[in-house]
Amino acid sequence: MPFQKCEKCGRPATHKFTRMIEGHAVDFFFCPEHAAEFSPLQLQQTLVTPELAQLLAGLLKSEQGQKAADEAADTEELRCTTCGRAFRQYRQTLLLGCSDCYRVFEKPLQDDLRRRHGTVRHTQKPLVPAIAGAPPAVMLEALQTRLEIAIADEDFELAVKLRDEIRRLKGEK
Amino acid sequence: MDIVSLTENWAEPPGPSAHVVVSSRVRLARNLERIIFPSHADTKDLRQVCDAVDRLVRNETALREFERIDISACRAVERMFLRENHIISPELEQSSEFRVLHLNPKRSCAIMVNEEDHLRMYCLRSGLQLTPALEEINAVDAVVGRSLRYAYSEKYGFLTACPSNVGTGMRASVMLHLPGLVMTRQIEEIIKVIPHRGLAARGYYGENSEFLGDFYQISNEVTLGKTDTEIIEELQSFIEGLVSREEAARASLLEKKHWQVEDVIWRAYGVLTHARIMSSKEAFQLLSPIRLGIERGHFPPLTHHRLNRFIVAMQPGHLQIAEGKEMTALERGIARARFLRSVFSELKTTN
Repeated sequence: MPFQKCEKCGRPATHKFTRMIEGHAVDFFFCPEHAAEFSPLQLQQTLVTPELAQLLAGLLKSEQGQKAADEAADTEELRCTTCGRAFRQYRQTLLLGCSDCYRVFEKPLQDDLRRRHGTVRHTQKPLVPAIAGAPPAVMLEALQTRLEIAIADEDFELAVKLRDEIRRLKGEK
Repeated sequence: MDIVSLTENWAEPPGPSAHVVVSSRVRLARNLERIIFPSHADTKDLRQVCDAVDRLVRNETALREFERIDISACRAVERMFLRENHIISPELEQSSEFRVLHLNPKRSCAIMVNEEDHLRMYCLRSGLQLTPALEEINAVDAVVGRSLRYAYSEKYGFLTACPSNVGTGMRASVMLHLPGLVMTRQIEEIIKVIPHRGLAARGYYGENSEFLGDFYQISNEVTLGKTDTEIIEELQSFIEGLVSREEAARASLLEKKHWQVEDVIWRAYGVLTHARIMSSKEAFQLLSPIRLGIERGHFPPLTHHRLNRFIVAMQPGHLQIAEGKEMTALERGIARARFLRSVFSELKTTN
């Protein structure tokens, strides 16, 4: 649960609770220690000893679960070749080391960005600001390129906007 | 460099809705292309950023009047003083070498170098003035961005050290004084709803600080997927709603709980004019009803702006600079009580 900080101590939050308060679903974020204070259920979970947890994990571990765990472990060890920062370090500090980290950690970062911002794409007006005012042919080419990127990223919301913009431009031509 | 001369003067003249809104601030986070972010950078990288910004400020007419302050060379108490004046951030206060501030003559606009990001540029305005603050800082951004190449991606926008800032890189925040909503117990419901509007509520001292003296800082959380103007408009609209609710709460209190509120104000005045030791927390709690009393015309010479200055002047860095020595918590408590006693004893009241 990146980005969220524990409401009690400010450390990175690992637990999220949702309560209905006066008709609104309200989220609370806590570190393991304060999650245990907040919820008796979490307290019980934190009382499980590491040995017992390991035993239970061994009993419950399925092949699929193992695969997911391996993937998660691989993600944690991902390392940016430009700054040398590991994804694990980002998880601890919530800070990336350089702009290339966005490319190297792109896949795991997508979930974080969606959770925090509700989207994974920057928005600005106009859609192609660098060439605003350029001839329609140049605009069209740039929009086509962006459309291809949006489709490759599965960002269909943006793809629809770009498609409409392309149609509008073609109509004006 | 006389650090003590660097007190905020952005707050004059008072801005719109000053009875509820203390200040509006817009800051932009920017990083330079192909340079490691400050948290992970070595001395060479940090120096490179400092030098690039120094050159820029010297050469650009629009920035030439900005004053350069080497934060790394300041004493701890001086950095504290600057932070208490809202001139530097807590992060810059705690940082080590190659940390620089470029500050405009009005103290309303600045470029912090090598904070969490290479550049943190902000504009601070009195009252509710989000759009003018955005326009002023965008003008600085345009000048800086013309000469320095920012780390920018078509997909993610401005790339920042923490992905919570990526996109616009903009954080707009408003400091509010909401005693009416606190006394009528509406504030808890509002605080709980704020995250659902893509906003966050923090205390007077920012992130992770407790709510003191009915002061609340409200800022945008979402920086990606919306334009800076959209974010500002949404925040502005939310704050205007809050100001109306606060005004309604104050009016209702005046009508239904006149004597209870008067009692709180005058008791606060009584303690401020007589206490011998005062913690910062207690002072915040007492100055809040005094701020309400200003609106009711109880302390004629006192303005919201002057009271805001008292809040800054009673803080540890200011007290220690005024006394010219390092002080223990007890000594600061005594000095704070003495300072507040002197300023409030001189006031004419309508009591």
